[in-house]
Formats: sequence, C-alpha cells, structure tokens
Amino acid sequence: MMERSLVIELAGIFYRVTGREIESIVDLKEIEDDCWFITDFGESVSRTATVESAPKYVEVMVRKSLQEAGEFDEPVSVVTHWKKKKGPRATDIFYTALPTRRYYQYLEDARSREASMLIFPLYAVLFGVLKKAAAKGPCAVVFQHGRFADMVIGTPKRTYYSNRCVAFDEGPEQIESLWHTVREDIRNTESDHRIQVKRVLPITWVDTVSEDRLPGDLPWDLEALEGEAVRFEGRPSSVSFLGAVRTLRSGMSVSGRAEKTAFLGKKALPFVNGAALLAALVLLGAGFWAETRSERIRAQLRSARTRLAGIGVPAAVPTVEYEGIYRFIRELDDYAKAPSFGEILDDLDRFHPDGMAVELLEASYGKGRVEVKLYARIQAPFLNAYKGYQRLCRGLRRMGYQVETEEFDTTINRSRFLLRLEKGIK
Amino acid sequence: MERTRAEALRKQRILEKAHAFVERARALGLEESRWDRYRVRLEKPVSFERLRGILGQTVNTAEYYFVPHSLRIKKDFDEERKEQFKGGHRELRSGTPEEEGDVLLGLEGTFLVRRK
Repeated sequence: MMERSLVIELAGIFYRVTGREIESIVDLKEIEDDCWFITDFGESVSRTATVESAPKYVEVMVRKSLQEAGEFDEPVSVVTHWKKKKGPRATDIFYTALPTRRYYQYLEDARSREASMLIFPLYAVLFGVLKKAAAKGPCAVVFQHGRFADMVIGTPKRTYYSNRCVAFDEGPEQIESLWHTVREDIRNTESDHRIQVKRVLPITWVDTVSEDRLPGDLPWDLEALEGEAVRFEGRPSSVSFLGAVRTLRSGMSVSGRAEKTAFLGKKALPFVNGAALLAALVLLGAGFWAETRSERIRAQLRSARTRLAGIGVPAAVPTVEYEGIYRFIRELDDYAKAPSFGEILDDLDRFHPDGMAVELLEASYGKGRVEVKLYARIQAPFLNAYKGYQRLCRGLRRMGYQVETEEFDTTINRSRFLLRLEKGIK
Repeated sequence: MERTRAEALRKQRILEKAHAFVERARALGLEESRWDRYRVRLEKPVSFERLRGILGQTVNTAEYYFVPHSLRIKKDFDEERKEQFKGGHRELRSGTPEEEGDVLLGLEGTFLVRRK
C-alpha cells in the first residue's frame, strides 16, 4: 500500500494511486492533495551514451548531439540519472531528454498548484530498482506496460543501456514481438559491453501482459518483483511497480528546491503541530506559576517605589511616540537598498558575452528579494558562446545573484539560454 | 537602591536619545503624512533611447524614491504587439500616439514624493 498519494503518467494516461485503489483519471487537475508524480514525459527518450566531454559539460553535448541528429527540432532539456567520468576525456551518461517546452510545462504546472507535487522521471524508478537489485552482477530491469517495454541494463555502478521498445498493439503476437526486441537489445548489450546479464527483473502494472503470454524461450530467469494486490477501477489486480516506486527519495525529484522544501515542510507539519501543542501546555502551566510569582513581585515593587520616593530618582521622561516614524524610515531604507531597474541592467551588461542579444528580461520585486528572468541568444560558435555564458553566470554570482534555473541550448553558430536569478535585498 | 537609580538614569538617557531622533526625523520631513505616493504602470513599445530615459527616472533621489515592482523588456515583440496593441485588447492612454519602438517595455512601480 502506498503511504502517500501517487500519480503516474504512462503513455499519456494518468493513474491515481490511493492506498490499494488505482484509477485512471483524465487530468492532473483532479488531484487536489500533495502527491508524487511519476511520468514518462510523453515525447521523451531515455538513453545511455559515452560522450567526448568532461562530466561538467556532458549535458550540453548531449543536447547538441540530439539536435544535430534531428531527434528534436526544438530546444531540448536533459535530466541526468547517472554519469561517470570515463578516461581522461569522456563521460558515460544515462539520461532522459525531452523538449524544453514540455519540461517547463511540467515544472510550471506543478509549481502553480496549491498542493505540493514532486515530479520524478519514470526511468529514475527503474534505475532505483537496478541499483538495489544488481549487486550480484549485471541485470536488466524491464517495465512492460500496455504496448511498451521500458528497460535499463546495468549494475549499481554503471548503466550500460536503456531504451523504450514499442509494439503496434497489445495483441499476443505484438507482445511476443515486443519481448523479442527486448531479448535482442539485451543480447546486443551483452555483446557490445562484454558482459553477461544474470537476471531479468520484470516490473508489472495494471495493463502488463500476464506471464503466461510471454515467449517461452527467454534465456534468462525472470525474477519478478513481488506484486501487490490492488484494485484497478474496481477489479482485483497485482502490480509490482508500487514496490519499485519505494526506491525513490524526495531528493531524486526533478522539481525545484522550493517545491521539495514545501513538500517536506508539509510532511513535517503533524510533528510541528504536536510540538506546538506541547509548547502550549507548557506555557499554560508556566502561566499559572508566573501569575503567583508576579503578585509577589508587584508587592515588592510597591514597597520599592515607596522607598525610591525618598532618594531622588530622576523624574520620568515622557514616553516618545516613535513607532510610526521609525517604521517609515525603515521603509525608506528598504527602498534605498533595492537595486533599481538600471542597476540590474548594469549588472547584466557588465558580464554580457560578445554577440549576446537579450530577447526577454523580466524583474519582479518581492519581500527582501528580486527575481530576474533573462532569455537571450548568443551569435557565436558554440565554444565561445558557452564560455561567455559561463562567464556571465560566474560574474552574476559574484554580484550576489543566485542562479535558480539555467538552460543552455545550442546550434552550430547560435546559442540560446534562459537564466532565472534571485538576489536578496539587504 | 543605587543600582535602581543608575538603571533609571540609563532609561532616561535612552528616552532622550529617542526623543532627539524623532525630532530630527520630523525636522527632515521623514513623516509618512508628508509624502505622496503615485503608482506608475506602463506598457508600450519604446526606442532604446527612450527606454534609457525612462529607466533613468526610476531611481531614488533626495526628493523622491522610486519603489520598483516589476520590469519587462521584450525584443522581437511584433506578434505580441499585434495582439495587444492592434487587436484592441489593451488600450493606450488617450492622446498617446502609438510609438514605433525597438522593445516592448512593461514597467510597474510607485513614486514616493516628498511634499514641498
């Protein structure tokens, strides 16, 4: 049984999991409580690759190669599940890539909800299972749902291969063909990396084709994760995907820091309420004690005043009404400290790379901070553009800006980037 | 008893300082009732030169403070401009001719001006 509300998006279908009940829903708007949202991101691809680049730049190179290969005809975002330096100049990476437009749509949708929602890529779940299960050697995690099979092959220390295999429909022949593709992919990976896959771990969902319809000649032991009894739209079913979800941690979410903090904060709320109740009880007890004690002090004070009258204590100065003026001066002080529009433009101008043209600049002022969004393009070869972009980020950090979100996309002779910055007003 | 007397003297000194502070602030006109607030909201295409001129006024001076709320500068705004300015969704202030511009400027803030 799931301890928290869970929403799962698979191939465009949304499922809501509440305890042992699973139902398909039309839209995320139907979810009104805090939840985890696991999604395959619709138009995404999940792959492994070895890239000629330092780990620091590997995502940029992946984005570039995906666009150059024509896999995406718009800016791409890359979510990294795992990466590791390979030799002096190369890096192995396991990632999910999707159009930036869609990625930001997911993040914005989650951010604009009243309740908290943490977003997790589907392949983070499969990778979680792989890390837990593959201690005894390479294994393949295969999540077959409907006409799809999402798979990842590797060990806890290295991911060799990942892919989504697709059949035309869910008929027996097509599902057999789907598993045939899975089998070929595993064999090719064994041959390419000179490894032997020891086990295949199938994960099941409410629309997984039952095992008795799988091809009988699979050369590996199928070690299915333990299924959990659930009811899907009123019918009994057994799924192991919910067990796989338990390998996730909040920190693995792709949601921003603010969303994670809000989610964890709400989780902690019952404990905070308990502590507050306890504190209230203690204060109540302390109140009774203080009342008794204060009566004694009042008596002592009366006696002291009588004695004071005889020893020439200075006359009291009339109370000064200062609150209104003080508050207004503090307000003016805050205004004086806030960077003006011109100062923000100067900060950006000071570090702007050659060939940079601003397409959109937004600044909004809140209590004690200013948020800046900059969308710009750089007309220069990739290397120059990226170095200039990094100089800009470094310079802005030195000026006290915190870089909340950064996105850099490139073509051969033109690059674009998006920066969301925040600066405290002190 | 001496300690009580010293405490009373200390309190008296603090109150005198606070009194002097308030008097000085009043003399400088730092009372909210002696300032006026004017909210500014602008959204229009402007040339780079005019943008520089407008932003040059959104600063703090001895006579007024400018409290910034939000700024939006958008280039290549033709489509947006067509929708917003030609489609009639947003009306320019009467008497303001539509200006040809390099950028679309959106600006909100408040001028806090000391009364003469």
